[in-house]
Amino acid sequence: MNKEKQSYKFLLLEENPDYFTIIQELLFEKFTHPLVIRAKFEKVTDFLINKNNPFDAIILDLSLTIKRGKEIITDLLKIAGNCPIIILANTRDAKYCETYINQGVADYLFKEEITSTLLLKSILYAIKSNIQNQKIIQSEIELKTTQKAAKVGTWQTSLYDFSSIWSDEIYRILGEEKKESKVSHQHLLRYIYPTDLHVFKDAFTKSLSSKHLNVIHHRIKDNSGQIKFVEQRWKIVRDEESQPIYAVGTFNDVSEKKRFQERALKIEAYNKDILKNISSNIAIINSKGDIIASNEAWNRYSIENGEPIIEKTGNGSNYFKVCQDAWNSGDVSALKVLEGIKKVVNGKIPEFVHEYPCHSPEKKQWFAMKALKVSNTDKNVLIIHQDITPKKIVEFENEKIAFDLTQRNKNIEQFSYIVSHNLRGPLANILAMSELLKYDNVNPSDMLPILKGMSNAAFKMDDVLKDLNAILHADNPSSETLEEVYFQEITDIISNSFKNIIENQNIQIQTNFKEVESIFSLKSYIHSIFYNLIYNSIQFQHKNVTHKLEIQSKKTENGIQIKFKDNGTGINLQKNKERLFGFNKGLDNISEDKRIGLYIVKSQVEALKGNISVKSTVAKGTVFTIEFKIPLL
Amino acid sequence: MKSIEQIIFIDDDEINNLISERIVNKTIVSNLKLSSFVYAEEGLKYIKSEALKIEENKLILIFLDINMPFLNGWQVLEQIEQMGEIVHNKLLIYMLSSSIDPNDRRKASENKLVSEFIEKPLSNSIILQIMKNYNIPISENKI
Repeated sequence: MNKEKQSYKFLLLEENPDYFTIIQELLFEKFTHPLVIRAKFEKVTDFLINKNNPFDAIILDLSLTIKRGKEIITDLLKIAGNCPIIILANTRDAKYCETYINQGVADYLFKEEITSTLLLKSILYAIKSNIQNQKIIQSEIELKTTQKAAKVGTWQTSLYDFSSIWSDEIYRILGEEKKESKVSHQHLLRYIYPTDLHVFKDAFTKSLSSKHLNVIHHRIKDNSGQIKFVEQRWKIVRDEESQPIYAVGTFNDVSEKKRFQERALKIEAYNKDILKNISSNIAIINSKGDIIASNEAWNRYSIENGEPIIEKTGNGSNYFKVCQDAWNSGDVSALKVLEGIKKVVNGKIPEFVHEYPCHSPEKKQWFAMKALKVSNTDKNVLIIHQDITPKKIVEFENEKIAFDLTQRNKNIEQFSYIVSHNLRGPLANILAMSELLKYDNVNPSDMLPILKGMSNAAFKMDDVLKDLNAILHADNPSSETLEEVYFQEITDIISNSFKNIIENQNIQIQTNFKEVESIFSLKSYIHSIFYNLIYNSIQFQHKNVTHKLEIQSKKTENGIQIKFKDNGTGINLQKNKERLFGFNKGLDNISEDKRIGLYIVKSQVEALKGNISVKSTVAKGTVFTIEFKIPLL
Repeated sequence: MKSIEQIIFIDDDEINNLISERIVNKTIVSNLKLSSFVYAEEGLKYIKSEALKIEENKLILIFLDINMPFLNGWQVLEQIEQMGEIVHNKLLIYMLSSSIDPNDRRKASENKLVSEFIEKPLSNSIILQIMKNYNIPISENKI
């Protein structure tokens, strides 16, 4: 057998010098230059006190009685530290020698049988097992540290006598001094929160007949009186006959976790409540348009309402498709909405807002749809439909006030213009002619033209006054409210008032209001617009041709269009376009009262936020086109 | 001193022109040439040709209405403006309008070509005043 190369240091406790020499020689046989120090047992402390120079092993010749030997070993273990001890025993009684092992020595050899090989094997074994022990101790320390950090303690309870062993962490959790001895199972029950006691007791009793892992949560009151939440997990260990022997388990302080969870749950509950109770309709769609979440108001609205833009919009349906369908079925704003939402999805705009009316037969409602990103990193988009009816009503009221004021201003302008020009003109003539009549030497031949002129002027004034009256009556929107005005009804009323002219002159008025039969507007305005345009058309009849006037309504992208088309004399627009609707004199062959009529039409169309345009060919006819936006205001 | 050689009325209201001519006839004795135009364009052509014909110290008195078809009074003034100083120096322009709109009065006072704004009807007192300033003999049987 090869010699061990490493240089070992041994402390040999040997009273007998001769035997010391024998052992030393045996060591020199197997080890290269071992350092063997002989010491008397009384002096051993001096050698071992120097920790920087520890021995690889202590070899103790125990020629004493077992009783005396035990004391020596106990003393030696205390000062030997990590150094393994090998006993050289006088006796060959293995049973006695086992007690040394139980005390903590590494190995023993019978003196009578000792050889260099046996000694070598024993020393190497002692050193090796010592290293392993060190590792176990180290891992135990680590486990304790882990337990402390995780606030997890371990316990074991015997089911014979209900005594328990607790790990350090359990003591720490309970706030109790660590005891070396065992504690009773009852001891733990002292700490369990009174109302939770039955939970633990029931679960423990039940677990005795269970093979599975048992888990319970309960509160404890620690030594300082603090309430803690604990999670216990344990299992019953059984013997070969399936009789329960002991229970092993963990004891986990989950107070912080629980607090955190509770807070999270509360926040979640609050959020849910907020979403649930908020009156706006809220849904979240993903980048493909699928509705992945919605609040109660949204769902309720979907159920209650037949509005095409919102129907069938529950969870799981596709909002893009809803918009597309609404567009296909004639909702003109749906495409704009769809494009707006897609822009938000693609991050081209931060948010998209669209206001729309949604009237039911019972009440008028307006909504605002808002689409915005849930977060910068998320592709999902929040869709909010909010009832803005109160805001709209205020807006309408404000607009109506502004509208009334503007209209009043316009009325005053019109009034002063009419007074200034149309009324003052003929009056000036009457004044001038009456002045002429004052002269004594008026020729009788001059009298007649003057009187005729005065009469004409007076009639002209009367016409202007009638128009003025019409304007002031029609332009009184403050006493009116918006209502559904049916085009056919209005046309019929006006045709009836021109009944004689229409019948005598064989005038044909054809209407087509199939596409749009009504408008939500001011009735007197619509009446006045129709009246003036019909009257205007009749005035410009082409001689020798049956006069035809076609009136029709049409849907447009933003609202509706009404066309008045006739085959009359037409208007030279190159000459007169700018002044056609103006109040200036200046339209060839159009008399003053007709100019006022067109002025009224224009101002009323514009007051309703509409637009009027004209196309005309001399001797062929004229087309007046009126466009209104819907909603009206 | 310059003196008035003739009077031109431009107004689409024929009756007004007729009345104005009569009032002038009743007020002054000398036989001034009077012309009336219902269409402003014709009036403009006439003014241009007459202004170039008349003697250096003679003036054409013009009564111009504001609200007229095709060309209103302001537009007529714009066109006269373009005829140059030779023409301007021979014109004496009064706006004669039924308008009681202060804006029209203001606009008239701001225009260099316009002497004064007169509210219709033309009265003999106004004619008298103008004629006095230009040495035109006045009729005896005036008011």
